[in-house]
Amino acid sequence: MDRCRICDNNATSNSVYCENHQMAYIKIEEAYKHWRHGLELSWMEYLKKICKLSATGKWCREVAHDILKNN
Amino acid sequence: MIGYINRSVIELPKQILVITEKPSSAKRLANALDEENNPQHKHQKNVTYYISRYNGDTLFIVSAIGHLYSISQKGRGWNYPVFEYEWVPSYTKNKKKSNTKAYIETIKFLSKNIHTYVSACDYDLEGSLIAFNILRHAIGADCLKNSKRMLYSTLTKEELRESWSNMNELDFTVINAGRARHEIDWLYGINLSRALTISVRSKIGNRKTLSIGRVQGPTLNFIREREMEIQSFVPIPYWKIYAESDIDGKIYNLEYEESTLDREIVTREIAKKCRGKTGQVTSISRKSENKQPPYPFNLSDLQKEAHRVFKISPKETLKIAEKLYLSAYISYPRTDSQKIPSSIDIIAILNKLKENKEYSTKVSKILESNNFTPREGNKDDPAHPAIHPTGEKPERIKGNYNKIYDLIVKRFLSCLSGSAKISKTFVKVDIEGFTFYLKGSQAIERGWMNIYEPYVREKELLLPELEKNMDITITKIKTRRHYTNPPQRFNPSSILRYMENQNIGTKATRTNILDTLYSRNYIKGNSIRITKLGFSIIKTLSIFCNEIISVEMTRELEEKLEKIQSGKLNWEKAIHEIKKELKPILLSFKSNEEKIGSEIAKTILNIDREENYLGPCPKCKDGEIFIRSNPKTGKIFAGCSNYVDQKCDQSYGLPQEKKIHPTGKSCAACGAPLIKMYFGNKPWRLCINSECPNKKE
Repeated sequence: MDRCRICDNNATSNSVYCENHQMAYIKIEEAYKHWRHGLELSWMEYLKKICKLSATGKWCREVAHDILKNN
Repeated sequence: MIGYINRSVIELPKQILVITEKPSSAKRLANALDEENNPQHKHQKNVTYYISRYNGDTLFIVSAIGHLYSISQKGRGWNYPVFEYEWVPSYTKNKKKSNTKAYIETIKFLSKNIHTYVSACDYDLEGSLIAFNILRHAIGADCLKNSKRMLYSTLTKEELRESWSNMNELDFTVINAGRARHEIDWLYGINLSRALTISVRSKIGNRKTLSIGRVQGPTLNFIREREMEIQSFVPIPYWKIYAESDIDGKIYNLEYEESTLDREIVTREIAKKCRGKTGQVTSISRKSENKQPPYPFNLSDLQKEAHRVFKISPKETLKIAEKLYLSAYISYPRTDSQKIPSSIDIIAILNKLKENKEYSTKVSKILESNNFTPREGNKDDPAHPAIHPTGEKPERIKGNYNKIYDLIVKRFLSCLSGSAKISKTFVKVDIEGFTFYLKGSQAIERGWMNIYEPYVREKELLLPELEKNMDITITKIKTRRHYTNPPQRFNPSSILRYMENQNIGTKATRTNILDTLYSRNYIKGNSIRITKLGFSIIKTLSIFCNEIISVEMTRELEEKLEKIQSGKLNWEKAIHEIKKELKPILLSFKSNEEKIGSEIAKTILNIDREENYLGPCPKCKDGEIFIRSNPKTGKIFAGCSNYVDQKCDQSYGLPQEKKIHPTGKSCAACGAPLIKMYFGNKPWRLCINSECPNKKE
């Protein structure tokens, strides 16, 4: 079984993330619709913004960092 | 003429044994019932009991200290499933309960030549069961037919005497509900906790005892689910437009008609158009709202309000409320009721409270109003009314005790007061075609709000005199970006309320369940966070044995228990059914024991490593030095991980008084690990090797 790219736990099938980080990834994707509508931001700008917000959950911040690092 | 004496009609003096739940209630009862208000104090094995005379009878009044009997496995062995059990004296099974032995022996000593036995424990499930177990086990089942039950909600002399004159038969439906609750909780607790502990033992030895129960599991799961929501939360931006106006030299805030906007560009556009413009009043509307007084407190409302107003934890509030009850200042606090029944003499309580100068003005107003019908909520409790003061004037109560007492009195007085009338004003202001509102609020009649001060939430905002078509000077237009917030973590008050709303546990057990979750290191902090261990246990159980953490199963059990209490379900039949339901759960656990144990043990070892790993072993080179504790003495030391395989015997003594923090570094002189300790705020590093050449120098 593959390992999660962030925490080394078991990755879920068809994903580079574990269950928790995969859930966070889905939440990030869902929230982007609202951010794009409100601020007309690109995906990468959006990720940078949410990394800086204290209310962003730890798993989401880790996923956002991971995407930024791997792109 | 000497009259004929019918001995069967004349009551002969009797010896009566009265059992209370706590020593302080025995003392109060003895004082209340003794005709000369001067009962004899006696001692037997360091236990105080009282002899009171009442109506020619001699009353021996003795207390328990909570439960003197508890459930224990029948037979030997430490395995699961366990379905055979018995009630035994608590001191035989639990060293911490050794003080209960003297109470059992004193009760046995006093039980000779007794005509009637009286259960005067708190009138609830636990109280009824405490007295029942004492009667059945310490004195003998035969005494049950000569036993009576005293029912009271306050420890005032009047109520205790009234209760004595109107004693009931033993309340077997309540007793059986208590037995069933304890036995079901024991069956779930012992089996699931053993299953969990055994599953990790093959991986980590006897190092860790784990527990889980039918209420613990779902409660921990609530906390985990909340934590998952927080950790996977992405804030969403939204915007607000604020306007400031200057009316007669005073600044007032206006709100844009749409409370939130979801596009920044649109928000800025509106603000740009309004900036520097004058507003015009287009309409003024007023409506008045009746604000009803609050309900009288039940326990969870009191705990919530004490946390809101004083930041006192629910556990502390309960402790204080129980002490106030035992001093006869308030009624019994472990109640669900939001009702003050007509049997309670409200006028007498008010007259007593009037003597207390703190409340005399407020009470006089209520007495003048002649309205003694309290506002009540829907929640009821068959045994006790809502929490209310008895009117007895507290002597020398300070700090949090005084705060809680004051809150209870003012709440009680509030629910006897009239409604408050709030006038709300909405002023519609047009700025360049955009609608803003100026909102005001003023109490026309303060009613109960005067009584409940300073605990009222409602804030007033007075507006100046305004007319339609009047121009308003807008001094500022601001836009501000906000973000949605994640749900808040539970705190001890909100989790108890959540458990109550989910109908799991009882008012008597919820606080203890929360304490267990803390003491097992499954949760931490006042803003409750689940620990890695708690998370791992719930996650693993959700995969392999989901019933254990399912709120539905616990809720069904609660419903069964309520049916037993209302006499609709036979308790023995219910326990038989529950054993049948538990069997397949435990079988499924057993078949997955290896996998469950591996997952949880992995987490325990990781945590152990984070907290206790000090560094590589300088002697054998391939072992690792960990902080360990001697299971017999409890003293901590540092030892090599290869000791288990008898490959290395390297060990070091460690300071016992201070918390040791690993540094991950080794001493340059001898290679032993370096540790850090704090003296005040000052950190101090030292080598753990007492033979270190650096120390000899």
